[in-house]
Amino acid sequence: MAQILKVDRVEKYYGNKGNLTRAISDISFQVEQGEFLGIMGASGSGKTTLLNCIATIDTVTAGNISIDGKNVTALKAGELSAFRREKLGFIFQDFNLLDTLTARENIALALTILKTPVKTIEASIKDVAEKLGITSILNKYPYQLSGGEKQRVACARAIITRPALILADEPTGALDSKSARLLLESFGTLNRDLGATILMVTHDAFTASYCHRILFIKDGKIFNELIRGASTRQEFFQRIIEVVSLLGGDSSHVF
Amino acid sequence: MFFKLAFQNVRRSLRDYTIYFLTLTFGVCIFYIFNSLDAQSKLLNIPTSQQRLIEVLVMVMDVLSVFVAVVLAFLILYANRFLMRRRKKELAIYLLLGMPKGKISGILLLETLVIGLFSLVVGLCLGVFLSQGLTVWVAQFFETKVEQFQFVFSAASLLKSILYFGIIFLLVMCFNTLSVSRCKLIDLMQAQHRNEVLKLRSLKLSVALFLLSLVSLGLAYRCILHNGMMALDREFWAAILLGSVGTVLFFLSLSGFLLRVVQSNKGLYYRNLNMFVLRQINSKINTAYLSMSVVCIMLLLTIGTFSTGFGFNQAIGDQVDNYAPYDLMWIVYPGEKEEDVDDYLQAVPIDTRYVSTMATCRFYSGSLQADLGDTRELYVVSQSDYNQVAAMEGEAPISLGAGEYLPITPVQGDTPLDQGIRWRGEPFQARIDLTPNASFSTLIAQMGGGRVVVLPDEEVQGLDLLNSGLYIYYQGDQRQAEAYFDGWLQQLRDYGIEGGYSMMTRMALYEGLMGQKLMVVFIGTYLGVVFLIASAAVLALQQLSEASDNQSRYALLRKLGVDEKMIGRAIDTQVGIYFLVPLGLAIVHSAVGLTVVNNLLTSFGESNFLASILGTAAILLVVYGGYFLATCLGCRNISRTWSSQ
Repeated sequence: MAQILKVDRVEKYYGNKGNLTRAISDISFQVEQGEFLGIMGASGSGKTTLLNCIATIDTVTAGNISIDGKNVTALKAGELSAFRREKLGFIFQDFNLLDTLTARENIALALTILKTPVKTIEASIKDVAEKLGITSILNKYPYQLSGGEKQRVACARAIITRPALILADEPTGALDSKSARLLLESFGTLNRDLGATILMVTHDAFTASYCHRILFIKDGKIFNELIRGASTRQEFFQRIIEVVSLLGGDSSHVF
Repeated sequence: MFFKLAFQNVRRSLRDYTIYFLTLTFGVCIFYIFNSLDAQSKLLNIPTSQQRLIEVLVMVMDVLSVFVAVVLAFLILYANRFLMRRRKKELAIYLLLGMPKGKISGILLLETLVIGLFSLVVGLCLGVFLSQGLTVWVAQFFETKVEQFQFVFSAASLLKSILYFGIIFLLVMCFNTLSVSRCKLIDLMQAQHRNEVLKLRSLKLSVALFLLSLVSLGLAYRCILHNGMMALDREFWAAILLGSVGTVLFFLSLSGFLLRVVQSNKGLYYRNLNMFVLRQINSKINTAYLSMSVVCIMLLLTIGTFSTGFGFNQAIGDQVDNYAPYDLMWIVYPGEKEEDVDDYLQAVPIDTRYVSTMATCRFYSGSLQADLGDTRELYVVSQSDYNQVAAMEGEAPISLGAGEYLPITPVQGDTPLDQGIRWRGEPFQARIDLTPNASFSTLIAQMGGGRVVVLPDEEVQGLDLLNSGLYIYYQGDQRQAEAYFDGWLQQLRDYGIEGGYSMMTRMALYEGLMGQKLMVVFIGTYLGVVFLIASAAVLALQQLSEASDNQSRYALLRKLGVDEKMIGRAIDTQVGIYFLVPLGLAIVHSAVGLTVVNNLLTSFGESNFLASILGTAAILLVVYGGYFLATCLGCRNISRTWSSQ
């Protein structure tokens, strides 16, 4: 298995001399190709900051991040956007579809940005749409779609460029439980059938239970790691809940 | 505290809405400049005969300024609405924190006051400064020079600008207070999330509407070309109505039509961000089509007034000679005491120091028997009078034998009298070998046309005298001579002129024409500049506010890995389409309109239309192009601010 992502002793500080906040302190981990990794943590634990650093949207204060063998912390601003469109796929909590474009066009956008030959665009959209079960809604506008449908369109947009890594930031955050389940099954499809490597940030134990491996982050550090292994999703979910309650159970320090 | 809040808000608005301030400032500046004409003209050594013209011009400017103020008021209210929309979230926070609506209105009031004062002061300073240039410009029209530079300041114009813009800002304040008192917190909170409802028309409807607009425009063009702007008849109004409807329909259907056309070409549609840009435009067209139509029509007015102003300027330049062949022409009608010019000249003699050459000439009415086919007046002039006149230009005297006459037919198209006439029952022969004196022909043409026959002196005796004229070429300084003859005419009036007279001097005519020219050019420039600024500002504000609505979209594109170059190009394309499409249609409109106007103007004299069009294009390029560039830069900046947040 090739190594897709390598996060090496990454630190991130916010603020200035007078008021310094440490969002991430010394985090290191790796993601293999075809993995479905979850990052869990409470609000303010630094998980979104970490994701933004990996996504090259934010810069690290110290340490290195390598994606697909390329050290992204050393890339110049001009190279970053090219890197993002070629290597990364994004799925956001609030869908982030362009409301002026139809579902089909939203998906096509990722390809036109890459300057993909026109002939292949429609065929690959059809292909991905079938896998994600959104063929019938391709000509609709985002405002005509439900939250789950929108998120699956966003998935299609993320996967259609065959990125090395898909980054999902709280993808189920704005969905009801049924849509969330459908979406997570779609993630499974992406991961299993299309071989996508997925890095998902969430604070929801149910959502996390679909992952293969979970990193728990607290106060900017890795607190725990869970690997699903051969256990069922049910069992994995129980184990996650245990860690989450441990994570939240700081009562001994308080009292 | 409130003042601080208001002041900070304005400072932030300053950065965001450079164009709003620019437009306000320009508006004030132009308003001041064109209203300061009165003060400008006082400085110049303008002859008294011209003072009245300036007074008329000042009056016209007064009336126009009301109209201009209304246009600017609409523009400023429109701009203000955009500023308010942008700040819904901020207002929501004030409301959420429990600030009473009265206080919020107070903040907005203070803000408007600060913005108003600021732009008023800057605009007036700029206006006072630039109006110095106006003096030189006006001086050119009267061919006088500003001998000594003097700083002109018009207190009247200053007060007027302050009054008018004060009223406009008062309106803005009322408008703001009203919109605050009517707003609901829930609407404000959700304002950001609410999208414009996308109403998409089907392909067939778009194409049908587009074709309908083209047909309507075509009909309008045909009507106006046929009508020629000669009369405000039904055809003229039909052209205006069809043109307006066609323009609105054009913009209503264009984006849908364009979208479908490009969509059918996948290669183009899926290239770069074309898809995104087209969808952007299409999504806004439901609100934008009306303003685009208004902008298009305003641009048409701009181009129309500018090039007509310039064209008129050109046309009027050389025509003085056609109207006034002599430096002075005095025509007097016979009375009881004195019969003709010579009698008056004996009564009040002329100082010959001011005269280079002069002649007197009598016109008699004659009943000629000739088959003419029209009803022009017929005059008879004696050979010796004619020779006197011709001698003014050094022409050799003619001598007509018995039974001969010289026909003069100054108006082109009239049947010349060269076929012979019957005079007192006898046949007379025309001397067509002689060419009539050119200045004399022009003079007759100016007297209202009519034909003249020059007959031997003895044939003229006993005829009824219609009128007699005195023609003079000045000697020495033209202005001194003019002044002398003014005095002479006054003496004559004191002496008494029974039969009525008419006096025309070349200089008065020239100045009159210059005044006319000044009027047209002034009005053309004033309105043209105002319309141009208004239309460019409307487009710019619309694009800027759209850019701030689109911030999240551009942020998403950046996250997806679109580089700055591509985003910049997409923004430029979008702004470009918004600026160029109305301009394009306006140019087509004005090409048709100016063809008609050109035909009208050639009746005033030779016009160099190309030069006027080039002049208009230059002004358009500078002002409109400037706004376009400022908008592109502003939109790029706005799209960037989000990602840095």
